[in-house]
Amino acid sequence: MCAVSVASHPGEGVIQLITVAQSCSLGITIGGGSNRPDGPAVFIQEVLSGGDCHRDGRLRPGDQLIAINKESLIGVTHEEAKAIVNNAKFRYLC
Amino acid sequence: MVLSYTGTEAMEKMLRWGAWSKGPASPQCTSLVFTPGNTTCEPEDRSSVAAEVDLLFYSQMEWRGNTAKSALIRKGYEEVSHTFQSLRRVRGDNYCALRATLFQVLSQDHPLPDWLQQGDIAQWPEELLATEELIGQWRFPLDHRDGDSIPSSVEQLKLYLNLLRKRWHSAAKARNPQERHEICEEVFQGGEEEYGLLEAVKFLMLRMAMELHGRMLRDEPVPVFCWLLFARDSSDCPRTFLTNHLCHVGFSGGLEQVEMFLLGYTLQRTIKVYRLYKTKTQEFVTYYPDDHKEDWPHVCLVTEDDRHYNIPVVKREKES
Repeated sequence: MCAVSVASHPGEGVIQLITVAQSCSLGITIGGGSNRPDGPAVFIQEVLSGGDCHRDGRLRPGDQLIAINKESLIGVTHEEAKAIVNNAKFRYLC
Repeated sequence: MVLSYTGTEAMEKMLRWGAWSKGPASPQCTSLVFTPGNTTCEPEDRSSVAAEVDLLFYSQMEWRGNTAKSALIRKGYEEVSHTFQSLRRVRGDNYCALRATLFQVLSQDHPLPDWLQQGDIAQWPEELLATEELIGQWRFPLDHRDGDSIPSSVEQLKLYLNLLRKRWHSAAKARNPQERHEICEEVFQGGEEEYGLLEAVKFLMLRMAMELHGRMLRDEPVPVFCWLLFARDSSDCPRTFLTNHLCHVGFSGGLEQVEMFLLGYTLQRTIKVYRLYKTKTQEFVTYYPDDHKEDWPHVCLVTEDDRHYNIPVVKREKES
């Protein structure tokens, strides 16, 4: 797995790219979206135990998701974001 | 490469630049781009069992619609509210049923099961290993991949069984409900201890299943649920029960109803579940198991769908 951190000026966020090994399922639930009151950002609500992200350990509840497999989550609705997350799951074989 | 950005606009630019495009993602992994959220976490945020909320308020907020289903569930909650005024939501992963039950077992003042009082349960993994190589590959959810210092499955199970015994004994010896609750809050923080204890409970369920199966083979009487447990094609003996069912609990699946019976038997508790989607039927309140209602203490759970379980609470009088 590789991680690229982009440093920033104080007060700005850091973007990280990670790759997570595939085993069973991503195992995340998301909140937010452009059409939700807790949006427009899409963020991780829960990292489910046993899933790849939980095992990897770097993604945490509250993190804002920007892209999955290069599909952007900027400006998408909650439903679109869920579809993108689920799409990542369908690449899994188990 | 060091770049700075402000706001969403810059993030979009970076994505368009394809700063990280290095060809198609490997089929063996998923790439995720994110920005870390607020990492200052209140201790309460990590808790696997949320603070009490008013049960009727929760019911009205969650089931606001006008469908028959909403009305049924709200009616179910109303029935529950005659006994329990508050609700504690439980972390909703595949360990949910185990987590909710263990929390209730530790947080209530009931006698310890006899197997916990006699004998050293930490010896059981080795004893089991001696009879069959069933548990050499036991999986733990927070296993780290790196390092050659990972203890064997047997060692880990021993550790967690010892921990379960210690925690359960301390909870039983607590001088008052507050102290007992503090112990529970410490355990259920979503960390290694909590998941270790849940895996220990799974191990105890396996051991119980093996004992019951042994009795069946010797034509000795067993509770009715055992026949159902081992009648499933996918689990005709303890080995297949482990590999096809139990080992996936917490990872890709939860507990089926027949396995809730086994859980109650293992912990020597009657798990009394209010099943809200069965409101107005005979199955609204189901006892796992139902043949020890008089002698095994009751621990109560609430479920809307037999998948996710929450904890009902009797509202305590406020301290003056």
